[in-house]
Amino acid sequence: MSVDHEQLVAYALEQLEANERTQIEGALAQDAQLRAELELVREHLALHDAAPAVEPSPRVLVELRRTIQTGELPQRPLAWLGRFGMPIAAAALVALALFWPPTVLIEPVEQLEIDIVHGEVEPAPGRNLVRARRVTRYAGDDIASFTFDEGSVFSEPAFGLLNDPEIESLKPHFPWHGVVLQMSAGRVFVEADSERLAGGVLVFGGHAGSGAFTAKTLGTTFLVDLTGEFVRVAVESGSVACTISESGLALDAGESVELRSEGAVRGKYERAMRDWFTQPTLLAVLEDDETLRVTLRNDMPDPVLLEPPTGGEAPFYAAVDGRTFPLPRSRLKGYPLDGSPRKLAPGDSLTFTVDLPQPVPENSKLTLSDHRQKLRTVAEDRR
Amino acid sequence: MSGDKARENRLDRELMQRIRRDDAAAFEQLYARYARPLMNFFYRMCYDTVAAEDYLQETFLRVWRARRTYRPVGKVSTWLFQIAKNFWLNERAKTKLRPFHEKTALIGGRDEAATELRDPRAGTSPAAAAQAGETEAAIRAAVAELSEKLRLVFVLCRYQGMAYAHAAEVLGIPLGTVKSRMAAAEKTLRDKLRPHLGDRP
Repeated sequence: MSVDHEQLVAYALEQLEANERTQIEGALAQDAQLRAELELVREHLALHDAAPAVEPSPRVLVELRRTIQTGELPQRPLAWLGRFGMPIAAAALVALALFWPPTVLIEPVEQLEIDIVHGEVEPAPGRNLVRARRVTRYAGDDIASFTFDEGSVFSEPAFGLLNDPEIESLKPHFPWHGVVLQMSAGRVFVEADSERLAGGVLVFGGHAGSGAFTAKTLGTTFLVDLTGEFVRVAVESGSVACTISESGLALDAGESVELRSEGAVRGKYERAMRDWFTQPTLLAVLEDDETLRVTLRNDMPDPVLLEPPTGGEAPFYAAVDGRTFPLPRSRLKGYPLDGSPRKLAPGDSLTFTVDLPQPVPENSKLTLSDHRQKLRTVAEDRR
Repeated sequence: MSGDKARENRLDRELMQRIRRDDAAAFEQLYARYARPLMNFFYRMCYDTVAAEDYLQETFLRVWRARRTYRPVGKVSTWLFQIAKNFWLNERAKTKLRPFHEKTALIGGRDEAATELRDPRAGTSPAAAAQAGETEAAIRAAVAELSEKLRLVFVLCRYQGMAYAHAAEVLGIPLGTVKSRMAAAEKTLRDKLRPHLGDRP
């Protein structure tokens, strides 16, 4: 029996069309159902939880009246004079003369306590939120709780763009393009994406007890968390350079360090801090196919503390064209560290050779790193 | 802008100008105009009348404190809601640092005091009221479980009846973001409330 080719094609097309139609109809039906459900939700919302739902109690207005009348309504000096007579007015004038110029009531900026507790990056470009609360000044009077965006915090002109009242009242207290923080004020938590800041640099300054804190971000997301006497600096991307008292600190993406306000380092972050201060320079030269000459040199002005790994871990790792292999002690000739840390004086160096487990092919790249992945170098090929 | 709205805005600005001059009576007038919507904003955000009253009071205190820094740019209502929104966000930030005491109020579903005030089911049968109460609890729980961003948009646009553009101004986000968040909020609510949609009133 012969098959009519044209009939077959027509049948196939018909089936395809039917399938497509079914799919479209199904999608439309589903869409219609979803829309119907959405309408139902709206109806439910309107019926069951419709606004306006609540009235404020009269207590609120009474309290507001009381507060503004007793607390903030302006005095009426002329009426007051009329009531108590000229003697008091004269006394006031004398007192005014005695104490002129008037005492500045505003505390110096070092006394400003600011408590910034939450940072959240909004998806809208350039509108990262940095929220703050409980700004305290005037001898502990809690005056403010506010939200502002990063531009408002870090650039003076942006203050004018805000409606939130306390920003205006704080404006005179932020004399430069940053926020002066008192670390002992309690908790400070700032998150800002400095890439969106004009100039890409974010500066914080603070004063606490015996320490000072200044940090600059360089095109990076920057996080500062001052909890009690501690500062935590975490870098989510890029790198950050900080100045803590007279010392320097640099962190790479994903690293964080916690510091005491006086600049000391504690706990698990001690190593991260020390690494920066005392990091040696790692040099490696490929002498032949299987031999690497490694030099650790202290180019820092302070002693370097070299810490060998514990627990049998290899002190170094090599990677050739993407393949990584450990370099245990048995392959390190002249490696001087026997399990205990050793100091390397400024300008000093130590050199040892490495027997590589396999020849390094020509035109390949060899990367050497230490066991903490802090020291990395690409070996120089001198073959 | 319609004539009514223009008049309203003009009146608001006049009140604010008087408040700038420490006119407490004007302040009370402004309170009378906006206490209810702001109260409902806070209430919808936390479903706790006591807390909402506190937030409302604090918002107006801030208005009073800021009276001299107010600039007649934009709508007064936008300014008020911005203050309210900022205050709310700050309060939320605080609650993240301590146990979230409102959680029961939010998820528990019903604030009896509020329900009493405006229960539309008065006079219905107990069974119908109970069923409606369940639905209401489910709605509140669903709204309460929306993320902060979605809930802000949803409450402003849905419950406050705010235009998307106005909500965008209050929240400081683009109009498109308001729309997408509103759509996301409604979709989330639809998914959460699907089991309750059968009991169509």
